[in-house]
Amino acid sequence: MSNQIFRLMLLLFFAMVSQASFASGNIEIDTPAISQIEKSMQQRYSQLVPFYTSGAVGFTQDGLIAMHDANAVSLAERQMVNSLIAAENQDRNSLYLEIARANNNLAWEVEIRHTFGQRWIKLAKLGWWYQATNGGWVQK
Amino acid sequence: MKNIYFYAGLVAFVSLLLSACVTINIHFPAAAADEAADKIIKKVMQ
Amino acid sequence: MRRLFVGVLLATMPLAIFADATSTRFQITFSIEDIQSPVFSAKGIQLKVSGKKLSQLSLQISEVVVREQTWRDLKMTCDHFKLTGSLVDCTSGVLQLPNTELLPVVFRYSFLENVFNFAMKPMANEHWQFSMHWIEDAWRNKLNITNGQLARIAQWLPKMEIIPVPSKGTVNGIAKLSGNAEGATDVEIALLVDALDFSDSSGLHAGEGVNAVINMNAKHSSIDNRWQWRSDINWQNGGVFWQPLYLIGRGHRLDLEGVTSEGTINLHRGALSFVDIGTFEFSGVMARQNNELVDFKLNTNSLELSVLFNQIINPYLGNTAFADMQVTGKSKVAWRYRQGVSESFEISLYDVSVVDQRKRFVFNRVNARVPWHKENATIADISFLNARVLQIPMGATRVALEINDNDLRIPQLVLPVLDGTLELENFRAARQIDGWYWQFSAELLPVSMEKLTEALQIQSMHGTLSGIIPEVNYKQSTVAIDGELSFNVFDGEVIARQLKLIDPLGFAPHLQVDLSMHNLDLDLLTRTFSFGNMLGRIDMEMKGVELSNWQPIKFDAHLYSSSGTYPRRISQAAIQSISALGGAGAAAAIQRSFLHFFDEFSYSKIGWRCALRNNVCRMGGIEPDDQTGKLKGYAIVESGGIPAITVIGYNRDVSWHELINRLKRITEGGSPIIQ
Repeated sequence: MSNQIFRLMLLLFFAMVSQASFASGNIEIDTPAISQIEKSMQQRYSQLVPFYTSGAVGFTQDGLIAMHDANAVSLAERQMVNSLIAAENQDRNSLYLEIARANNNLAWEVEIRHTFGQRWIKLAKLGWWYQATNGGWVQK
Repeated sequence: MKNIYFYAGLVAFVSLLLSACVTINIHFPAAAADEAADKIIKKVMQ
Repeated sequence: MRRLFVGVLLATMPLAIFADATSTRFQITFSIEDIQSPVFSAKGIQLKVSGKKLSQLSLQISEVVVREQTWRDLKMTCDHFKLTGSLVDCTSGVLQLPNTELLPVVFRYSFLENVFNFAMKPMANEHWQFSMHWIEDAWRNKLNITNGQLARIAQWLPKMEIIPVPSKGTVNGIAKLSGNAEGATDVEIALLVDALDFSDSSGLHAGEGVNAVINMNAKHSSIDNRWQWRSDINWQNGGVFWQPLYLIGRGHRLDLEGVTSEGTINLHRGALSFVDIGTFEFSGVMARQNNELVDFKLNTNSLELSVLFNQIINPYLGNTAFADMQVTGKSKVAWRYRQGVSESFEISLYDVSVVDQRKRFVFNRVNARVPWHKENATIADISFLNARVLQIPMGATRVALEINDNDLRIPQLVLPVLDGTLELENFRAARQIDGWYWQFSAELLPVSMEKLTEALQIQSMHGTLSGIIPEVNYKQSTVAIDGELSFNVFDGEVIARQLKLIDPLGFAPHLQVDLSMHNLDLDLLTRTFSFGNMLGRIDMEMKGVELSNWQPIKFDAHLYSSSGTYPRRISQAAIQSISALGGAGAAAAIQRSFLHFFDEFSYSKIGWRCALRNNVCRMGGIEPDDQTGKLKGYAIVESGGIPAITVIGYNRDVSWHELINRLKRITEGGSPIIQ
């Protein structure tokens, strides 16, 4: 009898372990909402590149972008850059939320945002600016 | 003797069930997230 | 002022006068350790007079503090210096401030005439002239500026990061200050600023090519110790970026008039005129002790909303759902603030149109008067000619909105929606700490599906949509519908339950719903979608439907033949269509077989399942999924009668996009051609 219980336990244990590891394997990023946001960001990207390059706009730790040096932009363009930043951040915020939603785990949003914050900085081109963990701006 | 095994088994089984409840928490797949983020960022930066 | 001046001179005398007798020349040195006065303090002052006839002057001050600003190492020398019993005169002096070029200065102090003149001529056409004149206790100061370079001011000012400093531009004009022993009594300033560039170090507060006329005067009355003042600023040209606003001077004016007494600043009349927008008139009282507003009154004339919205409101909406709006029309605003709290507010709209650039909503010809009062309930009158929300058109509507502080109510509202009406009852809204809450109950009187499908730009359908909705509520940006919405389509019924719309105005609205369909007429259905004719009736359960940005991302659908007796026939074309859903090969196989001799078959049961997850539809047939994996296929159509046909599907997982594309191809292309 005890033998059977041990077997049962073993079986259950493996069943659960396998289930847990199965669940933590992947991240779903292929939903209509996510691809729509990607598209919108893709279209904006070419407008943002000159400002990334000039240092006017840089990446922040929380996966967003911010004005780094407004003086790098002509006065008349500053407002436009402001609204570009606002629109981009709106997309980025929705993106992080949508990814969390697509994975049925809204609590992940914070970690997704953090991950993106790191990856954006990692994949930023040479000469672009980003905010370091201490809040200071650094040029790549 | 058999009884002892039985109870020990039962206790272990129950504790396993309890601990199983804890392990159901899905851990954030950091490596997969890095990969997913890179995929999206590269797509955006095309 | 004069007393201080004389006092300083007297103070210097006994401190340290020594004549350098060893030299052939005379040298007198005065030095003062420290001067303290309520206006300024100075340290380390050294005055040296030397040379033949004591004609050379040198003044050094190591530190001057005025308010919180400090200047260090000021130097002035004068080569032609005259000091007589009644006159101090320097006709060619040089002033050196830290980090600036040398400034030629001239000054003259006449004890007899009671005049002190100081002039500075940094450049050929640039002139700063200061004079001070006094008789008994009365004194007059005057500063006359001709082509004053504003960049100079930045050099004189100590470096401060947050304050915008001028880098270019000239100033012309006069500033006069006069008073008596008790202090200043009259101020008069008239300045013309030309081509001014300024910026703070971050560039978030900056201007370029700014032209402005500034006039100001103030009079002090000693009887009640009050200042009566007036100022007007006319901004004629140039752009200013003041995060997040960018404004261009086009003759905008700011006029202010008021009285400052010991405890309060009383603004009697203020007017801000924005060219192309309108005029804001205001008055108010501010307590000086804590700089807090006590009373305020604002009225506007008819404001041009398009410019007001684009230039001033929109930049502040940055991250909200309303940033992509285009607003036109006119508006008036009135606001009363009394004893530190808002007392009343009223906004009126005249022929206003609001168009969302993302096409989520449009309101045309909105006219409204929305009053709010702190203590009394008010009724707002709002109407619009037509509107479109999430593509659904609405007709002329007029609403009486009851406002009771933060509580809004509409007892009844009739909204013409398409060819039906939506009757709202007991609408209530309230603003709480975490945002807006609202709820209402409603009845939707039949809307034709033809009109609805046309409006939504989807496949045209026949039937009606109606329903009684016990409660719709909105909280934490989620609209939830309690109760059932029923659509009468294809001679059957579709019931929507557990309808939830998350973040309806957000970037990616989410919709969750459970759908139950009963007794849909297959004949009507298949004809509508030109799928190939089928006779019969079907039920369909769609549980946990989730749409993101109006695209399905998740559901469990089960379609099956309704119970009851009715003709069950399926056409050759429909068979082809169903097979084509499984891929092109299956359809071709049927065509090659003897089956294509028959136009119609009978069936006993139809069943199809699709569980959509992660863009993949896991399909099944009449029987629930076989978990053992023994059966490879699943029956979609089961035979009954003669000629009989059974359709078995083998593809379990199909990409949702692929499935939709196949469906499109089938319904758009009509029946497949039989060769």
